[in-house]
Formats: sequence, structure tokens, C-alpha cells
Amino acid sequence: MNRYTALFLFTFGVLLLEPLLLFAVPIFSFTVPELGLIAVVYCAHGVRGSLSSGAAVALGIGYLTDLYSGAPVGMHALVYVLVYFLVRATFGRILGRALWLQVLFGALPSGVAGLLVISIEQWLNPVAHSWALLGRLPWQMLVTGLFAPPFFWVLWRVDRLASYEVSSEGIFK
Amino acid sequence: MVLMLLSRRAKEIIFSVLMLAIPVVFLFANIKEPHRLNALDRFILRLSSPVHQASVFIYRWVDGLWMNYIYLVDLKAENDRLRSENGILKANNAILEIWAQRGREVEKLLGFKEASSAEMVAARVISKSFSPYYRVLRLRIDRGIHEIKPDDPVIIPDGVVGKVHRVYGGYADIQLAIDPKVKIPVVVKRTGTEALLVGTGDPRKYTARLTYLRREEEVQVGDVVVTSGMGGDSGVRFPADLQVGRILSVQKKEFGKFQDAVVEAAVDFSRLDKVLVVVTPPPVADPQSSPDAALPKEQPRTGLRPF
Repeated sequence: MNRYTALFLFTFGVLLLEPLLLFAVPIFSFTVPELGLIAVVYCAHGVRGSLSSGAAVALGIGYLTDLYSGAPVGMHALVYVLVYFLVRATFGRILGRALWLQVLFGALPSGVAGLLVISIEQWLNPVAHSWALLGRLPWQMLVTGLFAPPFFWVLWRVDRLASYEVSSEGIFK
Repeated sequence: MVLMLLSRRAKEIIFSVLMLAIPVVFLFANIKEPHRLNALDRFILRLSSPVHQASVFIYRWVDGLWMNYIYLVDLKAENDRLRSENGILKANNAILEIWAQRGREVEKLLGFKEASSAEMVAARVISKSFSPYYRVLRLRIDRGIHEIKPDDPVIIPDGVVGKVHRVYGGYADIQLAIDPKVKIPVVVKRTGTEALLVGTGDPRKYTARLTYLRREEEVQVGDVVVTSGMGGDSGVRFPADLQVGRILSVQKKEFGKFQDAVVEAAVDFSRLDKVLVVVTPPPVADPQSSPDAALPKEQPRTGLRPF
């Protein structure tokens, strides 16, 4: 199976199960880790494949996030594709496998994605006072950052199952 | 053919731009008001409809699997532990209480549906969009294009929820009664005063304003507001006598024909999990033959009446 296809299908499953699994943990009623976004970052940095295929995976994950979050369809899809290109253009030059780097790889894109989503939401619906969500952004970044290293590892395992050629790419393994 | 002549890099750039353009086109098609959709928007929405339906189907399947198997496995383990602590009765009672509550809710919903002369479709809330202050802004239900249509009223036995905003494939977006774009003709039950309810759009509270409320009418804080059964904007007609909310504050002006009143919604939108969509509203009551016409002003009056 194609690596991108495997990663997309696995992330789809995670997105389906995420609300059910996190439902029982009270802290996640406030903010939840953006596992879909972590998968997008992995595709951008961890898979040295075709640019457009990775963007297509980011688009698909964003589209599913829109469907299951109740957001206007296309909002997360657009933001995830933008984050994909951003990570690919910037983080690609960073080498190293430290744990804090992986946390940073989860937290920073989460912040950027959050800012983009809030801006689009505010632009679409000015009466909704979406800027107030900025206060929750640091928590969102923290939780996503903390979840990033274990989820990167799981994605790496899935990636390796799909292709035996995967050995060491990016910062993840 | 043209693509084959392009270099790999050029193809990559074209496809990448396409990946950016697709969500933009989807977003614009989705945020437009249904009556402003052009042919391209409708084509895009129709194109995405099967994907939506498939996603909703998979979500329901996984949700069902979880609720019917995995969740019950967890419950069994929990019950075993509680049995060893002699606490099984409490656990069972709690579970039975939940099911009884759900049963009562379904019974109430069904009873209301059967008793009404309107044709209704029951729907399950599949997602909610929240404001920064944890207030529900939008709902999404699991009924699609073959069962309901835009502007159909959405209600529960306890009161008015809103109206269907957009319908795609297997699901629909609901605009709440507290949305500034929703206008519902209502009656103050105690006085029979007619007014038009318009949402305030306040992200902190579930409130709406009573507009065109005549100044000489003596409405009070706490008065119950119900639907009048008359047609509102876009031809939306809610069944009559359905509770909308209670008056929270009244502001009488020194001049002008109207006074202002704020209404607190009767429905707690954050607790909604099942709703009824009115696909065919009940027939309009004839004011000549209606027994309501003979009632004194203190009694609730609904149906057609000159404003």
C-alpha cells in the first residue's frame, strides 16, 4: 500500500475514534490534541514523497476534520494544506531527533493552524467574537505538542508497515 | 495530453495549486446562503454529497460499534469491580436511570409527534459548533436531502430549536432560533400580544429580541412566549403554541410605537441530542371558526389575526 494512503486511512480511523476515546478524560472537555494536524506535519516532514500527494492527504484529513467538527466544510481543509506547505518549506531544513524538537513540531503548527482557523472564522462570522478563542490557543498548542512525540512514533510505525524502505527520515526516527 | 508534456516539477506545482484551490472553492460554496448558490456551487455541493454520506455512515458504524461492544466491555469490567465492592446495585440503578430518562425523552418526542397534525421527521444531532463561550452556534443533524429541505422548522416538545439552513447528502445544518438571521412570529401567551422574534446572536447567552412589540401592551418579565403559527421569513411556519422562551427584560421607551423585550430561549441547545423537523406544517387555523377568537385577551390567542 502507498505510504500516503496508509497514513491517510490510519488518521481517518484515529479521527473517528478520537472523540470516543477522549470522551472519558475530563481535561479534554476543554481542549483536545489536534491529531489530524500532527499527521499532516508527519506527512510534510517525515515522508519525502511527492509534494502534491502529501497536500492531497492534508486536504483529505482537513476535510474529514471539517465534517466531524461541524465547521464549515473547507475551512480545516484549507488550513491543513497551508500548514502542510509551510512545514514542508520551513521545517524541512531542521535536523535532529530530540524529544523537545518533536514537541515543537506539534505545538508550532498547532498555533499557526489555530490562528488561521480563528481568522477565517472571524472573517466568515464577525458577530461570533472568534478572537476570544485566542486565549485557548496556548493550551491547544501545549496539548498538541505533548501528544506529538507518541503520535509521531505511531505514525512512523504505520508508515513502516506500509513500506519496508522507511528507515530514518525527518526527526521522527 | 497537455499534462504529459509538462515536466515533473511543473505538474507538482499545478497539482499543489489545485490542492489549495479545492478547499477555497468548497469553503465559498458552503458559506453562501442557499438562495445565492450558483450552478458551480450546486455542482460542487452535489459532488461532495456522496463523500458526506459515506463519512456519516462510517461514523455511525464506528459509533454503534463503540456503544454496542467496546463501551459495554468497559461497563462489564467496571461492574465486576463494583460487584467485588458490593456496589453493583448503585451502578445498575444509575444505568437504569439513564435508560429510563432516554426512554422518557423518546416517549415524549413520539407522543408529541403523534399528537401534532404536522408531519414531522425525527433526527439525531450529530455535531454542534460552539461559540468561544461554550454556547451552541449551529447544529448538524443526520437527515439529508431526501427527507428534509431548507427552511423546515426544527422543534422539540419543550420548544423551538430553529430552522434547517442547508441540506447536503446525508446531513443538514440547523440555524438556531437565537441566530440574528432567524425571524419567528410569536405571541406573548398571557396577553395575546403578537411580535416578531429575532435572535440577538449573543455568543454568551441563548437570547432573542421581541421586535414590533406594541408599546401599550403590558408585557412583564417572566411572561411565556409561544409561536403564533403564522408564516415567518422565507415562508417558515412553526406549529402554533410551541414555547419559545420567557421574557427576561422589558424596556419601555418614552416615545415611538414599540417597546423592546429580551427573551431567554426555552430550549437548552447544549443538551439537545434528538430533534423533530417539521416537513409539512399543520394547516392554518381559520380565525372565524377558531374557538380562540372568542377568548378574552387574558387567554392565549393564536392563528390568523390582524396585526
